[in-house]
Amino acid sequence: MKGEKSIMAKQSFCRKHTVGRLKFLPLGLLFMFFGIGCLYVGLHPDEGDPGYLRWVALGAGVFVVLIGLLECFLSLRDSLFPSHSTLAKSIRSQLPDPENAPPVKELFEMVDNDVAEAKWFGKVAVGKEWVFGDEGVLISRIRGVFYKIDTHYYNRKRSVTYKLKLVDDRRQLHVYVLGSEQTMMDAYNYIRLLVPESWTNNMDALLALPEEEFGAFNRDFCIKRDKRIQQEAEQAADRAEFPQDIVLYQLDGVSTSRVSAKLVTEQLDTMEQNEQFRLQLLWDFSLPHCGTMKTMTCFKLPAEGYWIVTVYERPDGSNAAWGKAMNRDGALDCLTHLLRHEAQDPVQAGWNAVEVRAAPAQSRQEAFKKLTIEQANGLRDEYERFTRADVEAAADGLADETYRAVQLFLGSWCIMIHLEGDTALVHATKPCPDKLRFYSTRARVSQATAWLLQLMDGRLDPDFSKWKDETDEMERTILQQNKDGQA
Amino acid sequence: MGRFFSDAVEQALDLIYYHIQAGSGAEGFKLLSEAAKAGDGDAEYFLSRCFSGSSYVWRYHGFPEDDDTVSELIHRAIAHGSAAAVLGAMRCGELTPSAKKTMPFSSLKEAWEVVYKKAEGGEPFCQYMIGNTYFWGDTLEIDGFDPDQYPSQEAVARHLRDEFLKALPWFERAFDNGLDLAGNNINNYYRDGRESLGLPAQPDKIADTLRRGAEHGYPNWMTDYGSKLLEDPNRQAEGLEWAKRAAEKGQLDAWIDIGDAYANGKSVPVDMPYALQCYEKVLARQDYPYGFMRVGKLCYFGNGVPQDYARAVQCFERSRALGNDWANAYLAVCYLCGYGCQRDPARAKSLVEEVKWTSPEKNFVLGVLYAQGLGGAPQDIAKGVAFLQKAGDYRPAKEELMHYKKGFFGKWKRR
Repeated sequence: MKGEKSIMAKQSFCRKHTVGRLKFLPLGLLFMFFGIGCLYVGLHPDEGDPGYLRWVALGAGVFVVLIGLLECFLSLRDSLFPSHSTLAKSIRSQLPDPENAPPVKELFEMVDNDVAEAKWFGKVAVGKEWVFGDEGVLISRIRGVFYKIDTHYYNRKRSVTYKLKLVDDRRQLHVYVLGSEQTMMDAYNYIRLLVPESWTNNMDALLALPEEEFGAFNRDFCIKRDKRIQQEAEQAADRAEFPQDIVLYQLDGVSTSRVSAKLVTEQLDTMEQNEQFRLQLLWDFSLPHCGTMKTMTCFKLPAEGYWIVTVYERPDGSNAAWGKAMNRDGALDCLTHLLRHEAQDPVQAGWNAVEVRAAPAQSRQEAFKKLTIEQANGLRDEYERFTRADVEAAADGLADETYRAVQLFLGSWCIMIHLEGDTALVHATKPCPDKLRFYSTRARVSQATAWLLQLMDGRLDPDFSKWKDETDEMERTILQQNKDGQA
Repeated sequence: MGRFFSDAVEQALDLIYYHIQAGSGAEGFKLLSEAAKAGDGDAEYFLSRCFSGSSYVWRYHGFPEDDDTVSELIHRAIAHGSAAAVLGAMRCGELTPSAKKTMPFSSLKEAWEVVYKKAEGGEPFCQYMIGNTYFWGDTLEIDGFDPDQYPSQEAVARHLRDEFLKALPWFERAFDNGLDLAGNNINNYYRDGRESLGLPAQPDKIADTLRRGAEHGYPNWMTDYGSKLLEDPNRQAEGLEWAKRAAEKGQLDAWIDIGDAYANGKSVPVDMPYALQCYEKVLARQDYPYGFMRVGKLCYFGNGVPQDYARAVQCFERSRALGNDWANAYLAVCYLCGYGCQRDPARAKSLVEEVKWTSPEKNFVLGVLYAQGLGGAPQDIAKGVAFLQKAGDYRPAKEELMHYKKGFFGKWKRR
């Protein structure tokens, strides 16, 4: 007893759930007192009282006294004999060999260490290995994670309880009552993150599974879990070796974030003159008077040696760069230090300021061009590659009526010529500063073909004031077509 | 002099079209170039096809594409009397009015009859060209078709239908005689039919063309046939065999199917490192997004291969630049979290907004953007939480959700 009392002095969570239970002793005593009172009333009824009242009082008295006795017993047992507490029993039941479990001091130490790092959801603590409330369950034993919201009505009052339910591999059910739906869902989601392979669909179905099927589910669960743990361990080991916080743009154009000193050395030793490779930082590395380092580029100089350039982004968004010529060992030292998140202050180390140039603008795309010819029999030919000679031939075809229509698009300019009898109906577009304008007119065929060739030569400029301006009508037509298209 | 064309042209046709394999094209190209320099019009025409891209010649010959060179060569070919060039120019929009004036044939019909005679004699390419003139309606222009000369619309329709029906036998002959291109139009014929002429589609016949093309040893067809068989759980081994044979001939994209087979255990044990090797071979084809997409996916997940986020970002960006937005959501996660690239929430936002379908990654990105007000998204924790909840069992979303809770009045807030 004395030993167990000293244990209690050190342990917080376990202390709360063992010694802390003493606070329920007065409640137990109160129940007993009330129960004894009922028994007295039952044993000494008044003469006017109905006969059944005596039995009600006796029954109630026995029941309440028993409740009080139980509560007193549990409170005294858990606080004075913690090794026999509900908490200690639930912990031991989770161990692989409950009969040969370590002493309660060790058990509680293990619990408290885990609880110290735990995430709390109301009165429920989820540590690295255990879930604790009034009882504990090993996370590795959890096979099912469920929640339930129970609504009770009593005397027209509604009360709701929020329960988290965990089923372990022995199909023991552990229930935790939480204070709110939010807390319950938080705990549920968190435990599901820790045990992604758990059964979550239907608790009753899990509990009712025949032994053989539960065994199969358990085996499958263990295989998936072990595979996940192995993958996580491999990924963690991989991340330790390759933190993927830096990108190497290699000489062959392939980029990688699996950057090692060995890989950087290979780049340095195989690069030819005027070649370069670059390291791009993915973590924040700032120097007060330089800014945040973005890249470190290594160039191979035409003569011997290397040129290392570091680019920094200033707080105002502009870039600043410093460069320094180095021999192989100096360049390698610089680059490999960067992999360890170390770099010289370029200003203090005497690097040269380097001009940073913006990337060249992308070249503009070629303007649209098309020549369409409609033959006398109605067949149409379209050409996206054509020469002036083809436009001349098209003009000749209009003149001798081999063709009945010709259309030429060059960028925003367009001319369409339709033969109608002895004349030609001509439509043309003209790109103006405010908008694209549409015109039409009727002209002699020779005039129309002259305009066609002028457009090909880039000098179409008739007096459009004498043409009919169809811009508004065309805009209305296009608008209507767009509406019809959307409909 | 060869039977149908000059010796050089016939040898070149054999190397470039009739017996395709890696490396054969270069020799054929050389033969055509030399013959073209000497003024051989047919050589000029077939050389122009080499510059015309993958619709005209096997893409893995590695010929450069150059429209200006095509135009120049085909016009010279017409001027030098190549009848094949005249029909070829009709097909690719190069029989311009000025080109027509330079051809030494009195009419299109005369050029057509030259090619027709060679087709009748058994020349596969000419058989294909004659088939094309019927299939695409070029014979209307060649014969000077005038609908006004027909007594009725029905008679016109009957004529057009009869012309179209003449195409298929020519394509079949060309396909069986060694020209894989003819098979494309056989499939077009069966896939689309010609509803306007009362000829319905017959898509059930396409599978047979695939098999025949594969059995003829055409690399494109071996790949497509292999792909189809790999979709059938009972014929995956056979499909993989066809893909390997196509890959041996130099059909780079066949490595995608081989890689997929090893990545998914289709008739072979799963071997992710080998699958990655297969996908990496396809990267030599710089215009093919699927190789970049697959390499990116393996590097992103690190499933059985070393995880490399920067490589994943590079490959996904390349795939996206080639018009494939499949990996947008993964790329968005990288830009949001700084995986393999510098954090750029704005870019992450624009990437997921391009994605039309929903996915856990997309919901995660949108959730974080709105919950934290990043990348130009207005902060709206409730909206962000809604997206995170839609992400289902996606672990990063569940971990992010732990940072938010409902306050006393039911409003979501950060813990």
